[in-house]
Amino acid sequence: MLNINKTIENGQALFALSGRIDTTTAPELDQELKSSLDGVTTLTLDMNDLVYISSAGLRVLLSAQKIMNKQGKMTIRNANETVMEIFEVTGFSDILTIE
Amino acid sequence: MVKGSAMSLTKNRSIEIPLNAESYETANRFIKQWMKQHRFSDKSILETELLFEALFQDMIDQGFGQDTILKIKAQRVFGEYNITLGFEGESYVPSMKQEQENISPEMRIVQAYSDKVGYRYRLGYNRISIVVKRNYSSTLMSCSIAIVLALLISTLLHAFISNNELTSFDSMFIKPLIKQFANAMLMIGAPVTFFSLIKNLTDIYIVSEKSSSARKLQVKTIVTSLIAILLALVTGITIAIIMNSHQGLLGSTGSFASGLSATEFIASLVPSSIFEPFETYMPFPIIIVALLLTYALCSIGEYFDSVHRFINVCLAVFSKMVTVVMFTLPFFCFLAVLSLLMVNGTSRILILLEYVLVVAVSLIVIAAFYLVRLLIGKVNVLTFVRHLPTLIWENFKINSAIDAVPFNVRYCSRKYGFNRKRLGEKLPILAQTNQDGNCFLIMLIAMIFIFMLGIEVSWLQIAGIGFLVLFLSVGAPNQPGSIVIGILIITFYLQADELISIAIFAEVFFGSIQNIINVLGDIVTVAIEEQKQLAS
Repeated sequence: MLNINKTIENGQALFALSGRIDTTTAPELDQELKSSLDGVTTLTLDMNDLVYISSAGLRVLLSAQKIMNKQGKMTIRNANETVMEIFEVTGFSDILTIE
Repeated sequence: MVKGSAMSLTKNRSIEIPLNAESYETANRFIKQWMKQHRFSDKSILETELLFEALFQDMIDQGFGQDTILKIKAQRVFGEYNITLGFEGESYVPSMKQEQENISPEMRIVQAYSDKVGYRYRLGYNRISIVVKRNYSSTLMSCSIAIVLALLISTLLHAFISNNELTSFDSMFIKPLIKQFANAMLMIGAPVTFFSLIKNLTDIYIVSEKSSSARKLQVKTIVTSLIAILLALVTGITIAIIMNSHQGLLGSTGSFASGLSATEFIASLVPSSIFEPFETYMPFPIIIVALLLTYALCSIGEYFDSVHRFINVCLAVFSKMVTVVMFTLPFFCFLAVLSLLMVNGTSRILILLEYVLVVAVSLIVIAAFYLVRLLIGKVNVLTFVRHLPTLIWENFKINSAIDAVPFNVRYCSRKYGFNRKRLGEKLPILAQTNQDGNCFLIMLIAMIFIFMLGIEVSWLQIAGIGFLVLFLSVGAPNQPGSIVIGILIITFYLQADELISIAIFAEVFFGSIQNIINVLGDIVTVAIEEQKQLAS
């Protein structure tokens, strides 16, 4: 189950994610991101309530990162220990901007 | 359509699902429920989920699609808990093993946890197993049972059969049988050592060409292996002096190793045919041919990839043969102990156990060496030691420094706070090059038994054995059996058949320990390098 709380204002988008991003829920996030990123220069993904992210979720983040590299920047915030571990194990901590 | 082995998913041990994204949720729920039933930790469940999903997704991406039925079996086999994914079709090769420029997120996860995954393809059926919890049974346990059985049976035999008949039975049947084990190990061990030596030397060359820091690391590990050999030599001499056993407990075999004169020894170095080393099992010709082939391979240009692949395949095949023969180790351990007990009673066994104890206690020397390195490297020893038990235990179960690299990367970055990227670069190099355990144990055992046999050796010959041990260690297959192969080759070189039983006991008691020492050496090196990084 994934809940996405989206706020877009003046080219700044904030996605607060809670639940899990896996094979089942990743397409939903991918859809939301792709439909919302036009004109966005700063994308922030708040992962405070995210408990799990799988390879499918990482693909979505990678895809969003590629889009944002052309038009602004993307930041990950408040990732918990589990999610950070997944970022580190996969080397995504070097690819993504994490605060 | 989901098929399970019972009505309720929680009681199912297997389910069958079509391999598509829609079935993922069912499969994941099945695995999680099974793991929760067996009270696995959240961390364990997370790792298994991640790995399963990555493999599942990769199979779909590779086109093992809609028509494929995936059978997921959650099971406990000989103490090991695993999840097996089975399906028919073409052989599944994870995308990371194929030529790819960019590694997908799925393959990054599979790579990071590759110590937990096994792949098998037989008769059109794929079996991928994800290890959830490794078993802890080892050869030592089955060999200990074999030793106890041998004690019981020899007691019974001594009660009803005369010593002469027992000695005759031993020389007619048991000793020749034990020799067959040695023959099998030498027959396979010579090509394994040969191909392993070429592979390791070639890989060392490739890595060192890519990066000067890798080259420096390799040089450091060769130096520590040399120090391990010297420490073993000094410890061996010290033990001989303390135990006064250099008189020759089992008799003297003459003034030169293997009964060769100096001229004959020099004449035997280079074989007259490329196959001769595999017929004669003489170690120096094997090493010389391996070195020549390594040089040729590294200079061959366009044919390098195909020849390198051929060598890897040969090594894989012969290594599997070693694995098969090693299954019989408990049986031959039983025979070796029975042979000793039947002919000599308990006296020889007690001497042997005494020497096993002495070798075990001598491990303090290598531990002290690592402690000194840590202190010189200004590493906090208490913190380092605190996290060692789990690391050592898991490596004991994995029993291969190379296979354990992903686990060691995860563990050291999590517990010691080492940089994961640097660990991922250094640990594979160290796992391949660092052979402190092999060097120390094989040299120590060889030295102790040279003194036991009363072989008069010169310092030049000891240097030759040290050189041999170093190359045998570089050529050691990274799996159980490397100690017995190393000592058998030295046995053959010294023409001391008495050492065959010693080789068997060395593998039984110290086979796993040599791997642990290798891994410890790797982690100590990494700890020192990380400390240097922090300081700079």
